[in-house]
This record gives sequence, C-alpha cells and structure tokens, in this order.
Amino acid sequence: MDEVTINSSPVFAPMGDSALMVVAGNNISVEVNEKVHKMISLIKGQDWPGIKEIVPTYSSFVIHFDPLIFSFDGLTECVAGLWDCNETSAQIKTKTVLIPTLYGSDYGLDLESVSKLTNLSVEEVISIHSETEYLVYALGFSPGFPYLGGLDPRIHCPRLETPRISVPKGSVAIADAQTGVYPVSSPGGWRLIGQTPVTMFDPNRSHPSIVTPGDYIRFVPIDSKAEFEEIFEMSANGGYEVQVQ
Amino acid sequence: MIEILKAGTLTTIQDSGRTGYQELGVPETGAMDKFSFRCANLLIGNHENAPAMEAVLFGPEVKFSDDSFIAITGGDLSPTIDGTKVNLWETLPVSAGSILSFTGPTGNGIRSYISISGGFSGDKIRSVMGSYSTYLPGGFGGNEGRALNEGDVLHTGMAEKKFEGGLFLENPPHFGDDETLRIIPGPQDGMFAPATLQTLISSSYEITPNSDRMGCRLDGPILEHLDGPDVISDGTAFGVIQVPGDGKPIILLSDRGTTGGYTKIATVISADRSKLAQLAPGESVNFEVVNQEKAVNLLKEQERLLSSLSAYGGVPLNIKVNGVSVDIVDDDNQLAIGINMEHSTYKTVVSDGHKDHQIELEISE
Repeated sequence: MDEVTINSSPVFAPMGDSALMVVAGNNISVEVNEKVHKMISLIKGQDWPGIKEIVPTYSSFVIHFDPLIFSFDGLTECVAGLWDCNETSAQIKTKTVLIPTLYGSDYGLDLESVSKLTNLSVEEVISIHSETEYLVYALGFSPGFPYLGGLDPRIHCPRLETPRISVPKGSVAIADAQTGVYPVSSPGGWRLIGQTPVTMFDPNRSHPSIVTPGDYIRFVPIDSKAEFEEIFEMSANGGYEVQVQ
Repeated sequence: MIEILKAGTLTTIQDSGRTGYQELGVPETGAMDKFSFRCANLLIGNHENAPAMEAVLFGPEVKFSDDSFIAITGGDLSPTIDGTKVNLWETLPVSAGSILSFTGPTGNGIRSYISISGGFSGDKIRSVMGSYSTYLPGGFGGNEGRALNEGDVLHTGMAEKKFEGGLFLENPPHFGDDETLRIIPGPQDGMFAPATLQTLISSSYEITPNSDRMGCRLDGPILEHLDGPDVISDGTAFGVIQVPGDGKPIILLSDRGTTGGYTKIATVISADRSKLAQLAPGESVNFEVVNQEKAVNLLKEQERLLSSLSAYGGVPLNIKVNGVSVDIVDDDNQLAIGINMEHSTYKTVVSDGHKDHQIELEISE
C-alpha cells in the first residue's frame, strides 16, 4: 500500500507560460486532496492579481494566470510562502450532498451481476454503497462528472467487458475502486447499480453542478418509481433542492 | 441581422473562452486562434471579446441585411464580398444585401474569424457560464450549442456609433507549412526516457487529419516514457503536449478535457497559439525550447500589436459582485457597450450562492 505523503514544500511543474501545476503529493488520498483544497482556498483568499482560475485534481492543482500581470517566479514564490500556513481561515468547509438514488431493476441494470460477483445480496450491496460518504476529489471526463473515492472493497467489481454505447443520465455506477454518477448520457463501461433523478449538471443554472470539488456525496436509497419520477420532474424544472449536511 | 446561406465546413460562434468552470469539468472552449479573434473585433471598434464566427477550411456564405462593418482575420480562406476578393486584417464596410463567401484555404492557415459591428447576439446566442463560446460535445454556448447551419439567422448587438472604420493591422502574421512552435519543457518532462525531449526538438512532426478543436494529433518519431504513459489524472492547459502509450504526441487545444491521465512533456508558449491553431492536416511542425522570460517577451510584443488597435473600441459594461464578473445586457439581451448606451435601463443576474437575483440598473445621461 502507498504511504501517504504530502510534499513538505510544493513541487512546481510549469505548464507553459500561463499555467502552473502545483503538486501536493504523490498518491490518491484524502489527506493529499485536502491539502490541494486547503491551498486553493488560501490562494483565493489572497486576491492576487492576474489569477484567472485554479483547477484542482487528485494530488495537484493548476493555476491559470496572466504572465503579463503576475510573473511565473513571483507566483511560485507566493505559493511556496503559503505552504505551511495554518490559519484557521484556511480550514476548508466541507459539506455532504445527499443524492437520492433508486437502486436496481431498470434503474441499475448491473446490480444483480454485482451481487453475484461479490457474493453479497442485493440488499447488502445497496446498504454498503449508500452508507459511505464519498469525497469528490475532482470533476472531469465530462462536465460535472465527479471522481469519487472511498468505495468499500467488499463491492469492488471490474468494469464491463464491453462498454455500453449509452449510459442514461443520472446513472450511479461502480468500477474497481471507484464510484460515480454520469451527469449526462454518455458511453460508459462502469457497472450501473442505480440512478438518481436529480439533474447533477445543467449548464444554464447559476450553479451548473450540484457538487464541487472537496464536497462529499452520500447516496440515499429511495423506495419507489413514483418517488423517482416526482423528484425527476421537480429537479428538471429547477424546483428540487438537494439536501446538504 | 445576417443569414447563413451556406454553413461551411464547421462554423461556430466563439469568444475568448469560458473561464472559471474547469473545476467543474467544463472545458475552456473559445477561439482557437485568440490573437486573430481579438484582432477581428478590434478592427471594427468592438470590444475584443465580442462573439464572432470561427470558420474552418471552407468558410460559410453569409448575407447581410444591414449596412455594417465586418473584419476577417486569421487563416486566409479566400473571402469575397459580392464576388470581389477582399483583404484580411482590415475594416470592411458591407452594405445591406451584400454576400460574403469563401472559395477555400490557400495554404495560409485554416481558421478565419469573422466579426461584425456589435458582435453576434440575440435570443439563440446566449452567454452560458460567462461565455458565448460554442462547446459542441456538451451542446451548449454559442448558437443553441451547435455549429451554424444553412438558414440560421443571427442578430447583432449594438454597434459603436462613433466608429468610422479604416483600421488595419500592420505586418499581419502569415501561417504555413514547416512552422516552429516554441515550447517550455514540463510539467512532466522528467517522466520520459533520457534524450526524449531532444527527439522532440530535433524531429519534424506531421499534423494528422484526426485533429480537431480538442487536440492536434501529430505523427513522427515516438516519444518514449520512462515508466509508462499514465499519471494520476491532473489538470491541462491550451498547448500542453501529452503523450499516450503509443508515443505519438497530442497538443491539447480549446475543447480539451479539463483533466488528463497521460504524461505531458512540454507546453507550446502563449505567443505561438495562433501558429498552432492555424496548422493544417498534412503540414509539418518543429519545436524549439525557450525559457519563461523569452515566452513572456514574445507575448508582450503580440499584445503591443493589438493595443495599437484597441483605443478605438467600446467597452462592455461589466461589474464585479463579490469578485464574480457579470455582464450587463439591455432589454434585448444584448451586451451593453459602455460608450454607446441609449437605453435608460439595463439588467443583470447576480447569484448569492442559493438563488439568482435580477438586478436592474438605470443609467442617467
């Protein structure tokens, strides 16, 4: 198993003249990812000129900046200066977003196969999957697609041998040590175990994505097709607010 | 107003791109050749970020229903107005009923930018996540999230009324075969076999036909990884050169994914973005290493070219609310240009994190 290592000082990797990659550690872990989010929060708090946006991923983040306003060397120096900052304002506020999910049948076509592969009952798979709070390490692959970590090893399953040409929007799926939600309909090879009626991503909302990097997600089983349809309608019309803890 | 009589190969509405949403997995998008895009606007007195058309290879055929100014910049796709050849890189007056068409690329770039006084606007062309750029795979931005089609009718925003025309760009860029792109090594040049960077800069690479707005795929000598092609998925930038398992470099462009899991050997500098965006399939390209200082000096030179034009343009009204920029629009949802306001009320939408608030602004002269 990888040892958790947060770099004692930032590792800077230039990505041209207008983007700087800052590497916080060498593995996928909650600790390293929290360092990423803490640093981004600190940097945003400084209100430095010329910073266009900061994009977090698992163990690093990329600062897009205007080199005519903020020099590369100046930026690395400033970021290094914040690395050991332990201000309380740097503590990131985390929230857990509850995602209602209808597991199984037409909504999770692979739940039965997951049950067989894991030698667990369908009910056990649902219970294991819905009791964990998953960290949103990053969003990527497609707009609004969350990379979630922390799937219980008891329900690790390989990807499908043949990916589906189209996975329905809102599908909740697992693959190896990962779980995720498909925000829009797309091709995909993960095993589908359920579906959320919540519109996870809508480009026309003022907050397009229900979740942002650093949030946690918990899937909450819903009982019936009727409830699914009800939430689906409300969410599509902007009338559903996800519960947040 | 303009009407699209023929769509061309791929004509989309673009601006300078979507900033601030990559953390949600939303690509930057925007004009591939940003210099030419900005120049097209400045040449007609627009704000440099007004929505314009990006045409690739074979341009569209467009009919104008009003007298207006337009400019065509970037790659030379042989533009004509009413059958007469016209110049790129200068203000072009067009009359109501005029038709702009293109006869095809000339070996001098593949992407043209077509600007119009006031920018393209209207009900169908809406700002999505702060940008008018079309993101085709996601189906949003630009004109209904898609490329322009025959029969589309586009409206234009308010033009700068004091603008008199007559601008041109001195010493415009020329694009072509055998270009040299300048690069800065990194972010992961250390993850390649020794001398791999040397292979990249001492070889010639060919642009393959499956290049698109996401990436420019190259064919040439294999770039060898030290320990496999994969990294923990991390961020990307325009111009970064990623190398998948087959060792063939891909230069990531406007519509690239916001995260990627392949090693990235080097990044093309910002000042060479135009050259990169104008490369045609079949052409070849070379690379040369420069340092940060040189890259920034080259960028400054480019900015100086544009600043000689920008004095003529209007400024769109833009205010910051809690650090977030919001655009101000008039009753027709057209971007308000500062020195050209005739309406007395404007509006904008401001979010407080939970819901949107419509805010009206009253301007008294």
